[in-house]
Amino acid sequence: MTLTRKHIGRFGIAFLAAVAIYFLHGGMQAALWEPAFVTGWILLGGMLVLTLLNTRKKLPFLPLAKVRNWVKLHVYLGWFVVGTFLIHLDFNVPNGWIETTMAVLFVIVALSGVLGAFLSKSLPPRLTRRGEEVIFERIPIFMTQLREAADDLAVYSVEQTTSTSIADFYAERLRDWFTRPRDYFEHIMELGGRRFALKQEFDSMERYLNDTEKEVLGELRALAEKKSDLDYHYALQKTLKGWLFIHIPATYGLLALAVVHVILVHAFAGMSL
Amino acid sequence: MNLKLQRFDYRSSPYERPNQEWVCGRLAEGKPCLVGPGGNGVCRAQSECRPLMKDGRWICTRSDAAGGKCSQGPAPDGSCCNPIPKCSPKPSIRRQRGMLSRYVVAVVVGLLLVLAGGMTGEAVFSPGPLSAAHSELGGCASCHTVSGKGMVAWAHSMFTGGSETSDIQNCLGCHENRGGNPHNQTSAFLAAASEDAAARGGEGGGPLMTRVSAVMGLSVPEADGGGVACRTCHQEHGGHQNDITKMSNSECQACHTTKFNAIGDGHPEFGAYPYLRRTRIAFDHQAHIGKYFVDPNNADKAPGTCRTCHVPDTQGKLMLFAGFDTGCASCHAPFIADKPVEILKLPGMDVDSLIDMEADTGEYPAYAEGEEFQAIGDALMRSDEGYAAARAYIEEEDLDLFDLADIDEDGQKHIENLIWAYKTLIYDILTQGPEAIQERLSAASDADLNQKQVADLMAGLHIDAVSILQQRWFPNLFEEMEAHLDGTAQPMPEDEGEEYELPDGMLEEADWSEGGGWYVEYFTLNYKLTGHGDKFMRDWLRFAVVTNQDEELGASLMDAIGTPKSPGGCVGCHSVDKTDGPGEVNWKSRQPNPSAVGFTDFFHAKHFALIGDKGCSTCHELNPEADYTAGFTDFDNSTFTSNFSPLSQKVCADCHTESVAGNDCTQCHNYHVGEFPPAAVDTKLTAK
Amino acid sequence: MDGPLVIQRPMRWDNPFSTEMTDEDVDRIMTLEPFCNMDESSFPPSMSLRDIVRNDMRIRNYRHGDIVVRRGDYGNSAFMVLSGSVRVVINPDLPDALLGRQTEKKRGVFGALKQLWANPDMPEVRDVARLKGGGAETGQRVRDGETHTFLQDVPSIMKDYHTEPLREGTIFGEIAALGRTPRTLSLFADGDTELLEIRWQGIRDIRRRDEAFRNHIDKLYRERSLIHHLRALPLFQHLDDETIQSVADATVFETYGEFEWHTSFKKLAELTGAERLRHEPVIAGEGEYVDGLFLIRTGFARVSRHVNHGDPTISFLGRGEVYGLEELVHNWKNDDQIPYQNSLRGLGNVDVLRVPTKIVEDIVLPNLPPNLLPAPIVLDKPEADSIQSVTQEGSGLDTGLLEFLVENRIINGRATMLINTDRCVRCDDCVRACAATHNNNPRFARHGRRYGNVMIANACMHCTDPVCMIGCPTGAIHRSSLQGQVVINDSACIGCATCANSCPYDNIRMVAVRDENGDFVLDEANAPIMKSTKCDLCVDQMGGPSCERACPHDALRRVNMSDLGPIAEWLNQS
Repeated sequence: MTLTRKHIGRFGIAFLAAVAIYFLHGGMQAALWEPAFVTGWILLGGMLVLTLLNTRKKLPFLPLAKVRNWVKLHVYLGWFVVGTFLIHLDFNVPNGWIETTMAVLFVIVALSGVLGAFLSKSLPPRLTRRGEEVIFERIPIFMTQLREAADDLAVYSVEQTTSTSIADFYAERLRDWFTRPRDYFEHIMELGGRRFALKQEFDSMERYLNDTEKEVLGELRALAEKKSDLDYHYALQKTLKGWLFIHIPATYGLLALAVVHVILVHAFAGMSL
Repeated sequence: MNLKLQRFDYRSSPYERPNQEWVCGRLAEGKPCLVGPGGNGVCRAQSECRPLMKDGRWICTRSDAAGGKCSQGPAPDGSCCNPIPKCSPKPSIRRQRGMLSRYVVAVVVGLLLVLAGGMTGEAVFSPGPLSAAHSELGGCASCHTVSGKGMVAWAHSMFTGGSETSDIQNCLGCHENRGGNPHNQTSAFLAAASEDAAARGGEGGGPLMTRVSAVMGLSVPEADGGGVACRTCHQEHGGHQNDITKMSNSECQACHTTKFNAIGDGHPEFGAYPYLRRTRIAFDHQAHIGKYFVDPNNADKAPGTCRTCHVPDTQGKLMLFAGFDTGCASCHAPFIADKPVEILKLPGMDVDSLIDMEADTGEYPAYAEGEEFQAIGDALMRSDEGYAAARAYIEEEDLDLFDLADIDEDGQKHIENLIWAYKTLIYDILTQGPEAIQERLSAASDADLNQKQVADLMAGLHIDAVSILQQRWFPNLFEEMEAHLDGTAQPMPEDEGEEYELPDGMLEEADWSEGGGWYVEYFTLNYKLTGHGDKFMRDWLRFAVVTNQDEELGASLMDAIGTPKSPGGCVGCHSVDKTDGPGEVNWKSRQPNPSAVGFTDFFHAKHFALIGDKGCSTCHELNPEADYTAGFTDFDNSTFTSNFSPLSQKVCADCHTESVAGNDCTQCHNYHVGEFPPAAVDTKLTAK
Repeated sequence: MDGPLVIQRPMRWDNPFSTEMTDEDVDRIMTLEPFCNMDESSFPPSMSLRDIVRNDMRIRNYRHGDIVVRRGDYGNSAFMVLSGSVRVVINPDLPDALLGRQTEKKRGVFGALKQLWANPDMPEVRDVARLKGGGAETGQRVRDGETHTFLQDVPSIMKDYHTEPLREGTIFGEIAALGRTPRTLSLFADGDTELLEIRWQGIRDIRRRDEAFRNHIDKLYRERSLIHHLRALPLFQHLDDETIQSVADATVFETYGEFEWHTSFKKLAELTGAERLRHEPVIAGEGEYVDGLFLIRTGFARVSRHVNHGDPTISFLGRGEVYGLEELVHNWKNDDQIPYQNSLRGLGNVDVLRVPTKIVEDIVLPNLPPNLLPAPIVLDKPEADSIQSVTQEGSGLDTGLLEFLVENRIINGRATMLINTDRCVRCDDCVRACAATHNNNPRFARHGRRYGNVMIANACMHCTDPVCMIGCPTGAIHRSSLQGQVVINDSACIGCATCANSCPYDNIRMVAVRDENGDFVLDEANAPIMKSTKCDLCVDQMGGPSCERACPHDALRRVNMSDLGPIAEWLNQS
């Protein structure tokens, strides 16, 4: 992820637009107008346009601009809306329950958005670099396949070698690990500790095996590595989907409150629309 | 070993359908069925094939995609031997996300509805606590008219904004007199003030945001009922500590046509401020400090510093004058009661000629020596038409009352009336008492005097003093008046009465009244002042300036008692303000009024610690060129020259910068200008 | 193995065209024109005429009204009327409906929006009534395991359309078979008819050995296609009719390679580079004398340059592209004569047209507008020996990626779905958009072969050479009349999976269809009715492919492999 002149330029436009709002706000305030109504509507309008990204995604059959351009708009309009939000709040922490809840939700939406943008840029290349490309929904299927293959291999090893060392090693150290996705944080943080530990366990195990057993263990090691790769993809792909579980629900909560807020401020400020 | 999990051919990898809302419940185990859940999330799986009866045998019809014909084949009853176990379909990732969004919205809205319906409703909807001063107000409805009328009214109000006017009234319920026009001033005043400020040369366009709003072309919003709505400046719900009166400089500049940045940076010059009128007490600082105080004769009496005479008020705002006793008495007290006020003095007459003419005058003392009319006596008599005509005649003819030999009949008639006027006055006082005076002064001043006012003006004049006067001046007054009133002519007796002599050893009347009070001396009724603050003088001056509605009378009285040369010389120091309407005698220097709020506040006391060696003269520098006294030749307090040089803005601006002492407009200036008495508490008197 | 491939007996004969060709059948055919007139001795023993007849031909029976070939179909065989009669529809063309094609129409705004609520909940839901009813004007009948589509009302067709009968002994379809070009006319059987079907390898081999046949074929090609072919190229557009005719007359047909590329490339991909190279016949060798301008007629060719011990790819050429122009221009303009700078090798079977150097220099180049002249060749480039620079020179693509695209014949794609996995957040918005525009059914799988961060997703590439279209019994798979997208007419599809099996890229998927209730629709044998499905490039949608438009991170593009510039630009953007 490199910042190009294009990125900076677009961010600059968003920033300048926010500065314009700042002056609009200050100018109105200086003329004793209540700028919160204007910045509020701009803010709400901005948020609605941001939310329209979702609507656009639901209408793939209409020749509305490409989603990639919507996303660009989303990102930079997002920054603009963050600026407008701060101006709307006059750089203060709000007091009321509804307002505080809204502000908290906004911060959640904004931060999760920034986090999402970061994840969307940083995780895909990592997915490219490690393991086989798999469809997230199929990971349980592949995981089961790997576990069954490992189970079979353990049984096969007993048949072939008349020794239970590999089967025992598998049952004690690996079977449970094979059953479901593991090492989420390890993979997300790219720590690599588990991989190293696995390698060491296999290496030290190998020391006590004959050639036939070594071959079987080699196959088991391959399965384990595959499983680790699958875990890696599971962790990263889950994260890529996960941040939206914060971003989107919080957005709708925020919009619901925004409607209440708009009604209240207009009704109680004696300021007609 | 190159394990591949994902194969791409269509047999191994059917379409992945993330668009479906439900996924097979057995996906988590890694063994989803090929049928898939229905759109409603119900498992549709039955069996892997539907066997077909062919040639009397059931045969398996499992498709190649599902693994081809099974080895067992269908059961004898024609059912598939591979039933697919039912599962509980799971929502897809997308659906989970959508459900979570709906939950969040439902929780948010539900919580709002529950809380709104409950006790905490108002607290929930409130956008924040009120400032400390307002924190004890009741619910929303205390201020918001729309409150409590339900959502429909809110929605309606959203579009009409209909509650603004009534909301303002809710504020004014407590904060009286604060609504309406800016600064509580008339449009005309505001226009004039704007012109004045412009004339004083403000410049700079205002703070940045003020200039921005100018570019935007915004003008200050007007409330529904005209004027400025309270919430335009005061915004609540900012929390307990929030100062809702705080105003930024740019906000102040919103209305002002002369826009500038701050004091010392474009602020209009102060102009005359703080010397906006002549001082109430005419005290020529320049003359005193420069001349009298340095006179060696006065060395022991001269004050050392400004503080001797000037002390701050309890707020520390105004500098008050310490008073006559401290500031003036040591020099001026001895001279105040020098001269008595002549109230009534019989004019000297050419009695011989009157006798020759056989004028109808009754007796008249030949030794009377008055040469002019006394203003107060004149005031008592001027309602008498004969008197008034006579006075006018005398002035017109420039008549010398000591030489009446050549007057004609008309003149004689006037002289007769004049003499009877005096007699009638004394007679009336003696027979009717204060009522006579009340009647006469009311008529003369065109004002309806009450008993108290008359009593004040009589200043304890005792009937005996008048009686003595009558006995000395007109011993037969009662008989003469009876006859006169009957219309009987009474020629002046030829024998001149004896000149009145005091019995030997008796004190001169003047000596008796040395400490003040009434006395008769020969043909004069006098009032001797009691000293500084004499009530008689105060009352008569007030009568002349305030009560009296007759201009001529006023002038005549002021001529007599309202000049620095008059007895007591009150007006020499106590300036009289009178232009239009009732005037005022400034008995006191400027006094603080805790209820009054002006445009500008200056707290002298706060600055004491900051000024250096120059002290008060840091700001108040004597101006030797100024002709201070010239400002006191009339009753107009706005035409004057200050003793002090104009105040330079720099004096303030040196410290009042944003970073040092602050340069907020509201540090010096007030918006709500007028009288705002502190809220009164009406407590009924009850005793236990 | 060294040198050119020596084939004792064509390997294709391991899978003869028909297993039902009897000796009697072969004897019978050998007595017919033109086979009886051919000189059997000109055929080598390993490939006798009889064997060609036995292995590359089959006899097919048609009933009255059966459609034999459709205009626009791709076929790899020619036909000869054995008995009965075939009618060729001259004009007007038979309507799409009669040819088993769907009539694509772009949706309007409402039609597009309607998909928001009208799409079914369940996958692969079909209108059962339409599924069973079929077209009113055509019917389908299965004979000998083959499905034939027939015209219901032949008399009215004869009345409304101008048709001509083809008598016994007439050969038709040989040009389309050899050139892998769409059929130009539709034909149907007039009465019970017996046809001899000859697969293209058979035609090719006979043409190669028999002069009369060759002259016949070449004459046909020159008459019908060559001028059009040349005219389509910018190089020849400025020539007048007479001149271009002289160019056409001098043009030489050449064929390289034995195997059809789409059946052999997967095996070749497993070989090492050097081994693979041996399977790529050299059309014009690096360093050889420049003897003409090559035009690719069918198949693909690879342009490579020898560096060190390998032959890195510079670019690849497909149908309609030319090779050798730079060198020709250089030699024409300069005194120093240079040989071919690169090698042109056939990827599988390639048909080329060679316009001899003299013709180019004398006729083509003098008349060529200067703007069409290629950039002059820079000789002795200092970095010319770097493998990277060689590939960069051609495409701007990464060396490995370019080789990957060639090895896997992705180069065939005109709308290949590339996914940049460095950008793809695996959100599946592309798949969902696809489903939303296809009645709730995705029409591609978001997986596929990968090189580095470039994934060739399993989505129809709408190939230049659509081998999937070969052998469709009903003509359900065809090129759209709109923009040549390869589409499948769902109602004409009989689920035979021929196309799905033919597609070398696994981009066609068979699905079991369901009724409105979501139950699988079964045939008489209780087997689920299958349909062949694939990407139709949103042919009926507004705004083009929804997958690309739906991608939030610009991670997915549909690219035309004949123009690598935009691909490189897209992949290399930050």
